[in-house]
Amino acid sequence: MKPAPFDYYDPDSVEEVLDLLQQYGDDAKILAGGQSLGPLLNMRLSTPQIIVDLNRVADLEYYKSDNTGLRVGAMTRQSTLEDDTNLRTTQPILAASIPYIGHRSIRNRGTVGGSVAHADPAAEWPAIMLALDGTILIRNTKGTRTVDASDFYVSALTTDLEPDEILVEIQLPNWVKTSGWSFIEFSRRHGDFAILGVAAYLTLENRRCTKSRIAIIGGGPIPIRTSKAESMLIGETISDALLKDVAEQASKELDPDSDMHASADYRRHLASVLVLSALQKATERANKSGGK
Amino acid sequence: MSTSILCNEQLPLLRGEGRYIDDIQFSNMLHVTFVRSPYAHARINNVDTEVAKRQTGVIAVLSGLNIHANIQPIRPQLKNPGFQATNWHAMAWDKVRYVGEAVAVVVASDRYIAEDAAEHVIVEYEPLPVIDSAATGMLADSARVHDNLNSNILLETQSGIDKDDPAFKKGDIKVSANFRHPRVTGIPIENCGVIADYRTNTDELVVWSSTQIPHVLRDALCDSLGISAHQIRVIAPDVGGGFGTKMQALPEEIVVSYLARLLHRPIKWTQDRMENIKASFHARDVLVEAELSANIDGTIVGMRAKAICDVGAYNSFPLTAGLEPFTIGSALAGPYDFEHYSYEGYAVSTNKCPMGAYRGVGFVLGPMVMEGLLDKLSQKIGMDPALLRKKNLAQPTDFPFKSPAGPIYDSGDYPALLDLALEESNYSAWRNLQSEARNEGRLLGIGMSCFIEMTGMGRDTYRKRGMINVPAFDAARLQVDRHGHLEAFISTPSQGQGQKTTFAQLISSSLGAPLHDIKVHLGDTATTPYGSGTFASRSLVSGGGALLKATEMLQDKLVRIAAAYWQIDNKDLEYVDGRISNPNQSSEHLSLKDLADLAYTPFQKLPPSVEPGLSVHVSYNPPPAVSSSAVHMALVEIDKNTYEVKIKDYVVAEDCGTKVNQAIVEGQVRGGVTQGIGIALLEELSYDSEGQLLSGSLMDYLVPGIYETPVIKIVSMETPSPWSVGGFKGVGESGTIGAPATITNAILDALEISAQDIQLPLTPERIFRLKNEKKS
Repeated sequence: MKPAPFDYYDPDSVEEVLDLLQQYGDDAKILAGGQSLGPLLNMRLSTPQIIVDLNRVADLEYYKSDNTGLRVGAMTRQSTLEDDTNLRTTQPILAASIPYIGHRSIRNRGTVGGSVAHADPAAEWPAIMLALDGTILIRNTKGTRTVDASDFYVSALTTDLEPDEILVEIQLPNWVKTSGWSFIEFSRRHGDFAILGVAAYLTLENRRCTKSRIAIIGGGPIPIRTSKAESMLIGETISDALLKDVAEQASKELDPDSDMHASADYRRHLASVLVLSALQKATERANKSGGK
Repeated sequence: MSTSILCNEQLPLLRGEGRYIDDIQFSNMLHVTFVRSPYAHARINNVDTEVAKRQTGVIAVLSGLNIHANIQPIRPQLKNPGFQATNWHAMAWDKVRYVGEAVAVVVASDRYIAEDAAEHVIVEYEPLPVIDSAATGMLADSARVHDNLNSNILLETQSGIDKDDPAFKKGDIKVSANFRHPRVTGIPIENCGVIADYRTNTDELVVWSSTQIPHVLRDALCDSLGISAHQIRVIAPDVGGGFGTKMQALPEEIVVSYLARLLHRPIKWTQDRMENIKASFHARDVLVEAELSANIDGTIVGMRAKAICDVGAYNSFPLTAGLEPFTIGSALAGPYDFEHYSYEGYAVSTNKCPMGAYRGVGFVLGPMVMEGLLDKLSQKIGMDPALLRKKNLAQPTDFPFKSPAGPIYDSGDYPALLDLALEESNYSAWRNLQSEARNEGRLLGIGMSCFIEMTGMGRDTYRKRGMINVPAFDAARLQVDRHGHLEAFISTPSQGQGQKTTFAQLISSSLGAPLHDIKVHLGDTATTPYGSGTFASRSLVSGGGALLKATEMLQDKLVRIAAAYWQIDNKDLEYVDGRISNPNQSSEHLSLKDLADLAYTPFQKLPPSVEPGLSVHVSYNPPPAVSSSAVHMALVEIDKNTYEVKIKDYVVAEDCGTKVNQAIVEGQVRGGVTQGIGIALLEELSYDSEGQLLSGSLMDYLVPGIYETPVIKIVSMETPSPWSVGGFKGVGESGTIGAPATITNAILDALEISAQDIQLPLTPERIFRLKNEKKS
C-alpha cells in the first residue's frame, strides 16, 4: 500500500494552480483534504503523474454569509463549519448533515470542495447542494463560471469539471424562514458512507407547499432529486396520506445498486421509509417556523 | 488473590513508546513486497522477473519457481485416518490456489521501490475452475484444489453415537435449523510483520515476528529451511493484537528468513492492511445443520449435527484444517446434560485464503447452535427460555461432568451462574418492557446463552485429535539475583493482554516480593524456555501454572538454604510473607534478599545437594482442559423501518475460576463481546463465484467501533478448577463465544420468528428479508 511515483506541486495561489492544470490537464490530480484521494493513491487505484496540492492556497479557505447567501471556499475544512454554531440557525440542514461526514478526524482534514467535487453518490455534500439549490463556482485560466448543483453531477464519480478547471467556491442561498427541513442518513456503522440518505426541504405558505426538495444519496450512481415526488407536493396542503404517496414515488425514481451491504430492494425500502420520516419532520418544522 | 492493579506494561504502549515490528530499524535493512495472485485457481506457466530486476534500487526478484526446491513446504501433520495433508509452498510455483497467494518477492532498498518494481513482474496464469465453496468442493465431480488428493475433504471426523440411533427418535419433539457462521478474521491493530537478520559471525538467524508462537514458529522455520533450532532465534517484540490470527506460520515469515540467509542483509516485510485481510488467515466459514430431540416437558433427549467448514486452500501450521471441525464437535453440547449425541464434521478445501484460529475457535458454534435450537424448542413447547435452560443444565454435583459431546468438564455451577445473570439483568423487568414495546408496535427482543469455554488445553486433548505439531505444554524459568530481585521467563508471550502484570502479581503474592522487584520476560526463544505460546486461552492456565510451580520450587530451595544456615530440619521451616523465621530464635529471620545473598555466596555448611545460585525451570503439562463458563443476556431493539439493531443492555455472568487481576479479566470479556458483536451484526469476508474477495478493506469489512459497542455489565463467580495449578481457567475467548448467539437470539425474539436458516452477520438487509419472508 504505497502510492506509485508522482510529481508533486504545492503552489500557494489559485493562479499557479490553474497554470499547472493548464499545463498538465488530465495527467494532474488535485489533492485537497486527501480523505478519498489518499487511500486511492495508496491502493494504486489512482496513479496520476502529477499531484497538485491545494493545502498552501490560503485564498481558498474561507466562508462568509451575506444577503445573497453562504459562500464557502473550496479548502474550508468540514470541521470549521461543524464548529460554527450560528450555522445551525442560518443553514440548519447543512449543519445537521456535517456530523455524518465520516469521523471527526476525517472532518478535520476533509474539505468542502473536495467532497463536492469527488461526487461520491453516497456522500453528504452532494445531497445538500441539490436540496438547497446550491451553485458551484469554477475557474480556469480563462475565467470563471457558475454551475447549478443539479447540472454538476454527471455520472458515477464524474462531474461537469474539465481537467483544467478547479472548484473554487460553493454557494448556498439564504435560508427561507418559513421552511422546514430534515436530514436523515442510514449507514451500517457510525461514520460510514450512507446506504441511503435523504435531505428534505419544504416551504409552506398559508398551509400550502410552495417549494419542495427531496435529494437522495446512495440511491444510484449520482445523488439525485426525485422531481416527480417533489412536484406532487406543490400547491397541496400536507397530509400524512400525501406524504406516504410522495415517499413511495420518491423510492420509484431511484436506480439503486445492489452491493454487499444492501440490495437494491432494501435500498428502495429504505428510501420510502426515510423519505416519509424526513418529510414528516420537515413539515413539523415548517409548521413551527410559521409557515402555516 | 484478585486485585485490579494497573498494568504498568501498558503505559509505554499508550504513550506511543511500543516497539512493534515496523519500529525496528537497521541501517542496512532491505524491504520486500510480494507479488500476489489475482486468480483464485490457476496454473502458473511463467514468471518473468527480468524487467523488475532492472529497476533502480531493486536488489533481487525471486519467484516460487526459483526457490521451491530450497524451501520445504508447510506440511502440518494430523494423526487421524480422516486427514489429508497438503503441501503449502512459501511461494506458489506450479499453481495458485487463492487470490493473494504469493508468487514472487521483490527485494529493494525501500518498500516504495519494491512495490513499483512488483508491477513489472509478469506472471502468465492459466485459469482453472474455481472451487468457490465447501458445498462445491464436496461434490463428487468437483475440480480439485490439490490434484494429488483423493478429494477436497481435508478432514472427516465423527463422534458420539450412530446418527440413526433409535434413541434419538424417542423424543416427543424435534427442532432443527441451519446455522451459518461467516468467514471472518481478527483484525489486530498491528498487522503481521517480520524482520530477519542472518549473523555470519555466530551463524544465527534472528527473526523478529509479530507472532503468538515464537517457539513453534522456530520449529516451523527449522523444517522449512532445513537448519537447526540453535541457528535460529525468534523474538516477538511488542505485538499489537493476535486473536489467534498470529498463531500460524506465515509463508512470508519463511521467505523473509530465507532471503536474509541468502543476501546477508536484514530484510523487513511489514504486512499492509489489504494483505492482512486478503492473505494472512481467515477463520470459521462454517455451516452447522443441527437437530434437537426433546420431551414435551423440555428435557433434551439428544442432538445430532453436521458441520461443514470451508477451510480455504491449505492446512495451516500447527493446527491443520482440523481446528474447527474438531472443536465444534466437542462444543455443541455446551453446559447441558442429555443422553444422545451424534456429530460429523468436515473440513473442505476451497480456492480461498487458508483458515487459521480466531478467538472462540469452534466454541462460538456451541451456543450459536444449541442456544438457537433451545429458543426454538421454548417457542414450540411454550416454556420460558430461562426455565428451559435451567431444566437441562448440568448440576454442580455432576462434576467431573462428562459432556454428551465427549469432553469432561472440571467444575462450575451453571444454574447459579444463570441465576446471577437473570438477577443482574432483571430478566422479568426486561420481559415487561418487551410486552409494553410490543403493544406499541416496537420490536424489542431478549436473547440469552449459557456456554462453556474449554481452555488451557494440555497434551491429552491435542494428541487425542492427532495434533502433533503443538507442544501442548508451557514452561517458566524463575531466577532471583543476589540482591533478591526476581526475573521470570515464560513461554506464553503477550499480544497486549497484560501477561507481564498478571505474572508479576502471581510471583509477588507467592513470594511476598514487591512488584517493583519483579521483571517478566516473554517472547524470545533465546531467553524464555520452550513452550506452546499464547492461544486457546492458555497463558494463565499453562504459563501461569508453570510459573506458580516454579515459585513453589523456589520456596523449597529457600527453605533448604535456611535449614542449612541454621543447621535445623527443613520440616520446621516455612517461607511466609517473603521470609523464613527461625523457630528456635523468634527474632531471627532470613528475607528473600538474605537468602539470595547466601545462595550466590555459598557458605561452607551448604550441602552439595543445594546448588549455588537461585534459579528454577519448570515445564507444566496442563490438564486436558479446564472449563470456564458464562451466561450472556442481551436486550435489543430493532428499528421497524430500517431494521437497524440497537443493543440496549448487555449482561455477562462469568466464572473463570481463580482470578489474578479482575480488571484484566473484564478487559478480556469486553473485548471478546465486542468482537462477538462484530460477528453477529457486521463482519463478513465475502467472495464471489470466481474466488475474488469482495470485502478487502476496512471500508467493506466492518468491525465494531465504540458507537456499536454497548455498556457491558459484568458479574462474576469464582469456582476454582480442581485440576489446574492455582485453580485457574482461561477467559480470553469467552466474550466472543457467547455474543453471537445471544444477539442472534435477541433479534429473532424481537421479530417473533423461528428461522430455519440463520446466516450471520444479521445485517439490516438480512433482517429485512427475514421479516418479509415471515410476512409472505
